[in-house]
Amino acid sequence: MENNPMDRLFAEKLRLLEKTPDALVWNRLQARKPPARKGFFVRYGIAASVSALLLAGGLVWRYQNQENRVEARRDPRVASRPPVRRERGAATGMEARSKRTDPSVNPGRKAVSAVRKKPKLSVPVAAPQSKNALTPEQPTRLPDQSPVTTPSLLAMAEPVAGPAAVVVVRIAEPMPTVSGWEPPAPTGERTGTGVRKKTRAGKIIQQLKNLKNGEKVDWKAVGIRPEGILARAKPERENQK
Amino acid sequence: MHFKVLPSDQEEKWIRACREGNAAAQRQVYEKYAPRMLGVCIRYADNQFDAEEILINGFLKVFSRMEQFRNEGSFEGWVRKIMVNEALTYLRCHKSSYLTTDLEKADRESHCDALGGQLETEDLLRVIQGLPTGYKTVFNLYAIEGYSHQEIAGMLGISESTSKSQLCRARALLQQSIIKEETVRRPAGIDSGENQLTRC
Repeated sequence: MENNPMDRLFAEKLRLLEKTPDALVWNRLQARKPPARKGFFVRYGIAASVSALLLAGGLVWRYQNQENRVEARRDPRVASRPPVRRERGAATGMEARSKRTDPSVNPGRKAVSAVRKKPKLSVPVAAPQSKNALTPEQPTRLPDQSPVTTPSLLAMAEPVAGPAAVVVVRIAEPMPTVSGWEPPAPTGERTGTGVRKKTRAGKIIQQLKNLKNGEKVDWKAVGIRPEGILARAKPERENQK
Repeated sequence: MHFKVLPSDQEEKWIRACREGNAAAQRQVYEKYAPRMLGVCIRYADNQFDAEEILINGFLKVFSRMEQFRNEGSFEGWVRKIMVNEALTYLRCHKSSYLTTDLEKADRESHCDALGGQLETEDLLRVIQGLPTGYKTVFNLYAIEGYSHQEIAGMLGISESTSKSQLCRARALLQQSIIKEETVRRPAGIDSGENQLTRC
């Protein structure tokens, strides 16, 4: 900057010029101040409370699950009892069952049900304990739906989808059904691979085999009255034998 | 050579408190620097109200950007710089004829001598406020704030030669105004200032 006398004159006198502002200027300044801090705290406060609520909900849910598990371990009746949610559920029959087994509908339930039902796989449940296992509200297989495949044994296999599939076999007492059809008493023999069902047809075949081998035939055991048999072998045939 | 001007302890406390949003500390800073900064603003503005508007906007910027002050210079210098920039922004927004040149008034080269000896600060302020906005701005930036023509050109978005010519014309106009002022004050019989002028 060149040393101009005009510049020097003004710089000397105006550089340190002071003027008192009006008293209202500070108020105007305060009014224009953005309330940034307040908004900051409010926003973060809301976010923190929502997070706390979610965390508390998660903890309560987890605690209740643990409690149910402990209760199920202590009381075998509770263990054999079907889950309460099934009884309360509005959906009935096959629809409700398919909902429960479908992992896409309730994926969180898959692990819980698998854990609960695992012990039932190897040990067949005694009949008196499993009396309550099936209620009229529960899904049952009617004889007209599949009379051949499940004639006497109400064995329901629930395949659980997923990588660790568990097949749960539940054995229950025969129940009176609407059609009046009473399945025969559940019988079966354990083999190395599992339970082989003895169907009525199989029993009849067994009796026929006994007849062929000349052994004693018990027609009443298979529900056939000998006097009611209309067809008989010819005398020649009988003589041949 | 670079000298580091450290703020005083009290000032440092205020600055720290202002960074935390302490309203009391902001009030203290305002109380201390507002009169001096209003003196800066009023040189660029045409009237007191405009100067106060610049002052308010400037202090709002000071408080919101307090984190940017890194104690590398004086705090007052930093605040002053913000006020000058705010004044230029205000002029740019509110003056359509921001850098118009009044050639008719500035057709004479300035002649200066030991003028203005009898003039008070208020008179000089009035004189400078009477300049066209462009002249006044360049003169303020160059003669009082100490910016170079290159810096002024960058700040105002003009060329260096424009800055130089406007400064020269501003000086000529100021000289005329000062002579008028002194003629009014000077008793009759004394030669007018124009006869004593030497060429700049």
